[in-house]
Amino acid sequence: MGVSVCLASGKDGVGRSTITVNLGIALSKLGISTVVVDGDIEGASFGLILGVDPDTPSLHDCLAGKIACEDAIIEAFGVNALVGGITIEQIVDVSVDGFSDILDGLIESFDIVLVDSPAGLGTDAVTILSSCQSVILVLTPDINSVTNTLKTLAVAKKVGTAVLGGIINRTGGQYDIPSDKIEDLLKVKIISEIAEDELVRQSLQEGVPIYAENPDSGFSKKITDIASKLIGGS
Amino acid sequence: MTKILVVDDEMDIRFVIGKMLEREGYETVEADSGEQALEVLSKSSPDLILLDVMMPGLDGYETCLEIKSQETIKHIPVVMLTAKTAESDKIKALEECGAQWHISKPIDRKKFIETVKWLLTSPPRREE
Repeated sequence: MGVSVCLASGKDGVGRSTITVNLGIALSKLGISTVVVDGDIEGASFGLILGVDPDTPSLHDCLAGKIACEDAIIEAFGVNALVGGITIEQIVDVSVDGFSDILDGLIESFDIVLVDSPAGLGTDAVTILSSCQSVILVLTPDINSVTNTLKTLAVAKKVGTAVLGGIINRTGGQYDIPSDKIEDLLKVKIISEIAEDELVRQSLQEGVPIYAENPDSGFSKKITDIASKLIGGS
Repeated sequence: MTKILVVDDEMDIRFVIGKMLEREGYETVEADSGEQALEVLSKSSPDLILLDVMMPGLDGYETCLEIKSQETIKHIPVVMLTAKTAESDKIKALEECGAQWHISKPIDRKKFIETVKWLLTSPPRREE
């Protein structure tokens, strides 16, 4: 029986999906049976990050009962992935009611299930957050992101999802809030700070995850560190 | 000299915080209520405001909202200093009232001074 870890953020644009996919690749390289799930129902991006065909079977197809979940999982860059649907029809028609059952099935088959949650606190986001056993909060070092993270944190506590820690992404700005101040405000352990990296943007354009293309980049090294912490290696 | 306004209805707390700040070389001004804080602010412009939440009369949230509604003083960073530590209290302070930061009581002296120094030099900026 595996574990489910949701990566959640209070707002979009903090790098949550990129971190989820690359963390999945890192865990797989460490020999951990991992699947990454694009739970960002209305803003799926795994297909773009992994450079897969838009017609690839998706979580949306599973939720709609069109395909069995095990048949929708693809393997890309060494990680198993359940990508999200991107067509208007898929997004409009989808209901996340069956997500918890899908997750239960994935936990039976994989050691770690990483779920990219929608940003914010809409119905989809709360359903996915409450379905997962634990959550890692992803944020950027600005007051808007920190305040929105407080909201996600409050909901995680309310629905009983264990908070593993926070990742501060896209650091290095002149007006960044220091990580120790964020940790003190959130009362959540900051497990990693990841600097803004132009190579990440480049990898998105190329459809090749940065961890696969540039394993020695600063971003990739941080991802390896997070993966090690997640499995208790350091 | 850098001036900090300490607003708290409890004299002991104002005294302790004032001493901590004066030891670091800051000048302090005290107010025992939200109303008195606004009166002080009508006459002088401190560099930072430390604001208790639970006070009789205007509470800290109301005082902060009033400060942030006044063009001449809204730029002054406000820190809510409170024992109300639930996420909802912090969200109310930072988002609804426009405070720059939230510090939980009881205060850790070292962390408190570090936070004051940070807020005086580089307070969090909001997206316009």
